[in-house]
Amino acid sequence: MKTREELEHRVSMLMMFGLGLSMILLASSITLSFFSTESWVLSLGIEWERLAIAGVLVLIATPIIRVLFCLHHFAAVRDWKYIVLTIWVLFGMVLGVVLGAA
Amino acid sequence: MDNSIFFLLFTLPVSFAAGFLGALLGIGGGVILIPFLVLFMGVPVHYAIGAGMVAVIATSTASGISYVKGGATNIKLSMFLEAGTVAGALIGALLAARLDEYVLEILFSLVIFYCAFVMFSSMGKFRRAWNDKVAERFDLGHHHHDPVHGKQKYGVTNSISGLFGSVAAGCISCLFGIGGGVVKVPLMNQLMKVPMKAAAATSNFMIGVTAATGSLVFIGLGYVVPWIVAPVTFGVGLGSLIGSRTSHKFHPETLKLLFVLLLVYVGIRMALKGLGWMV
Repeated sequence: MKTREELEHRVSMLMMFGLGLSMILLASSITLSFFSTESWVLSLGIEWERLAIAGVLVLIATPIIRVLFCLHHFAAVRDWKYIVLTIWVLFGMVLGVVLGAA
Repeated sequence: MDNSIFFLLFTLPVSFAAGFLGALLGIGGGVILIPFLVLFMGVPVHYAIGAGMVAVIATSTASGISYVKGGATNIKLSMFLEAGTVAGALIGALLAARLDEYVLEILFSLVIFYCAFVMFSSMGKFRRAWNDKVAERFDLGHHHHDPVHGKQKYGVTNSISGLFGSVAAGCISCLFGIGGGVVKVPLMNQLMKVPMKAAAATSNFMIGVTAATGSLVFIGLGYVVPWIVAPVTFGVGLGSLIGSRTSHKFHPETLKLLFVLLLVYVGIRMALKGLGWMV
């Protein structure tokens, strides 16, 4: 992943996969929510609420993995300025979650 | 409140519209969705903000697919400014408990009105810039596709002021629970001389990172509930996909005018809230 175009292509593919999977999970959860008391849905053992949360988690993971992709790219081209900036962004994200949870 | 067809029927089209506009203008769509969910659907405000946060990621991801592929998103500029936004978000988190919310809301509305005025008065006057020294060093310049002139290179100027501006944007995002696109787009377009469509695409890319952090916090606090978040995110995702694919049909000045109208709307809402005339 050495050129900017290659990074753009990979990031674009990642977002397509992340959004696609998330949309499938969310659409399935919306559909199942209308049949949640039907016996055939109960026999599947799938709860629509869990599917929805799984869709949300896939969506949340996508920009985080995107930042990791960028870090991998900057490391591959040894762009130290951007390696530091990207690590700072990741650190801020982790600290934000910790501060928010506290 | 329950998971009903009534909720879906109203929420899906509004979420679709919010995603469509969000993708065009570089905002998450939370400024449209949160008031709708609270005022029209009776959703408690914290749950509405939780759904709004996740919706911002959907806008960012869906619009990013075509914007990044088409080269409209400036990934290096987004990372440069995101470093400031992260610092601002941390400052905002520390300030949140110490500042009077109403004073902040009135101040924020004044900033928004100023941004609207600057953007409106600059319509038709956009001038490209050369990279300044910092932009040269960080390789911030990029290219974008102009509907009239095709592939156009652009430079970035006022990089340090832009970085400090993005600290303020991060602080505001954290204090008010918004993606921050309403600050980032004018900052890039007016101060750093990034063309409107590239500014909107880059802002969209950035707000996903900010919102991912916020969403994890909201999930931890129990404010992301499936029956609200599923239709909202699904609608926003579809709207953003279509919005980002049709953005080339809009003239940059049309987008700018739409953005000014959005700023005026957000400014009025924030001022009314600050004055205690709106929840």
